[in-house]
Amino acid sequence: MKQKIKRYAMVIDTKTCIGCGDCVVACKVENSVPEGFCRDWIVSEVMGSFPNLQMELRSERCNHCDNPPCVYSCPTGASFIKDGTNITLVHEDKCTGCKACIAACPYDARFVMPEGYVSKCTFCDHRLEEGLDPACVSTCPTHCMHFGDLNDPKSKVSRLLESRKWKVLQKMRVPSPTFTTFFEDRTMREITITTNKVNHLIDPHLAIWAGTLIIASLAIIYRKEKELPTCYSKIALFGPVILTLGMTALFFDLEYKAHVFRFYTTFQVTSPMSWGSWTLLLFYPLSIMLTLSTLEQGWPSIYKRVNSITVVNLLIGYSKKHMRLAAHLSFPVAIFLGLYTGILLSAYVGRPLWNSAILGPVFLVSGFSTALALVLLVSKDRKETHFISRIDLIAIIVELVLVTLYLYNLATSTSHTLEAAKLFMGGPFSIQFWVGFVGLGLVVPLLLEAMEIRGKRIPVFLPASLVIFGGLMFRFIMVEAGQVSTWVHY
Amino acid sequence: MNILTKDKYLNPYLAGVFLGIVLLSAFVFSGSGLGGSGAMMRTVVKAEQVISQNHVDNNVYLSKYGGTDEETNKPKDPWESWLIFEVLGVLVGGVLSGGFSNRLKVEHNKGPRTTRRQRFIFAFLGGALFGFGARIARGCTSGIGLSGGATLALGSWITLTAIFVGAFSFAYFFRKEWI
Repeated sequence: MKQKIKRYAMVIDTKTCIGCGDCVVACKVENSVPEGFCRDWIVSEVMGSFPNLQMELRSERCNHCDNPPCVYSCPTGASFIKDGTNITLVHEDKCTGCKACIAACPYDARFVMPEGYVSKCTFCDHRLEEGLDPACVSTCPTHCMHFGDLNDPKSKVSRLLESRKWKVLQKMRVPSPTFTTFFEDRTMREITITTNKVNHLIDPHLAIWAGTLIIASLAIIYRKEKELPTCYSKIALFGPVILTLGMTALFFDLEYKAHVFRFYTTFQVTSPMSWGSWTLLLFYPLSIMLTLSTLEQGWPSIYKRVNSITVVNLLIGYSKKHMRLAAHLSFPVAIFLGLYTGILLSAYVGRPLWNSAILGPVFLVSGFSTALALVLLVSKDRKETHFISRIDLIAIIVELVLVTLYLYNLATSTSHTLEAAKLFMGGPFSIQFWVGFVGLGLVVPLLLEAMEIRGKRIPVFLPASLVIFGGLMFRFIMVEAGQVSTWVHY
Repeated sequence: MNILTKDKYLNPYLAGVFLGIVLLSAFVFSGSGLGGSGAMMRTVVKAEQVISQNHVDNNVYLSKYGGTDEETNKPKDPWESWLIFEVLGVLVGGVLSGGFSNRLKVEHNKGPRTTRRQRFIFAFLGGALFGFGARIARGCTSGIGLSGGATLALGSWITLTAIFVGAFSFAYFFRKEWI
């Protein structure tokens, strides 16, 4: 007979919780949680405004969600749901410390252990197997914590939910600026959150690399060898270079570097990062092929130096032979990867600033326009720069429209995405966003390029370097600000 | 060689009126006048903060702009000032108007007998001296001369006079830079 799935839940009686913090201490002792970290914490939330104030105290931890975004975002399968239960656990051997789950968790319940793997509350799985309650529940001096199986109608928690008024600890918390915390542990936890940020170098390269690949493959597909020499033969080299820099940055951002191979021992259908890592691995060669096939025309000095090496010579010959096939394959892949960074971020449920699928197209267009700017910087052909500036002008306009839609999307979704949008609307990232990205990175180059089209003499490096500055600024802001945005407003 | 004879420059008297309007709107919208050296000074303080916050804290003049706040225990951001944005706007506006009148290019305005290197060295030395003087005078030509002069502040008129007297009396010694 198939055993019924256990749906473990914790019920906190906020009427009796006094916020003593014994649960936190019990957890630390039971699970040997290292100093500076904690798996559970006390929240004291003040609601209302003076004189109608209410305070609620409660103990919080990982909620072992029914649809755990952490598990779905994990690229290696290290985060998993334990069979027959709803308990989400971390397989520390598989964890690479990529911190995707930390960004995905709407409760900020996860942290990186000093060893490098991610850890969190396990509902004291080892105690449950012995028939005991979790350590925090057993310790609670006011008996405000109750633990049990929701699928069992006779369990303590099921009966409590029938007899008392209750609410699910969900995202619809009242944002209150007047909260106070009394416990050292909670403060310490905040410190660990800030140190668990993902590296802001992670995605800048990806969309730009995708952009260079789009340009190079299009120029090859349409045989624009004469008209667009830089696009055809020069720009491809930037692909592998940017990609390698970015992959190195990604590697250094892993907290558990020795486990990097775990990305490639599995494929997780639900994890954008897993899709990304496989695609990158599979299509690195494509990018190199495009570079090698046009190296002779584009970078003759490099070509002369490396062509004498037998292997490289063979590779160049092979690449030239299959150049058009590589270009045809590269184009869809480049579009996929350009979209990918935005989609990767938008899938992190725990960071409301990113929760917009428009982010994918925004990153794609911005990467494309940044790559066009690279062409403008490199190209010495006046006709080509003139043509590329026109395309870049269109790309900038499209980007402006998409960014507007993105902000509109944030402002009209939930109160939490609205809170997140305020980071740009008077919040700490407003200046970087409006002056740096929109002003210097989009509007000024737009005006300059428009003037250029009207026949004014504009040194081409000006709009081009501004676009590159804006593109990098945008990625930097998005990654930084996104990780400040949160569902947790206490 | 004469810059003023080049095409497409605005009539200086008309430009003066426009500048006055800009100055007036600066007072209306930002609550303070125009300035230039303040932005540079604040950028220097920002750079010094990166190297040694301690030094900025211990220096009376620098700590006014970038010292550690005693209440929040965080260093003040010297860039949190209208001047920074104003100067940024001046740069952007300059580039746009230059582009608009077709004279956006890299050039070195110098006398026929000076080398480019000399020109840079003299410009740098002169700029450094002027910047230092501007901070002693509590403002440069724009801050104290233009904004202060427009409000008829006595100190501003004295400074303006000093700037012109200084320029006239030293022009003789540096004339060979330009002829």
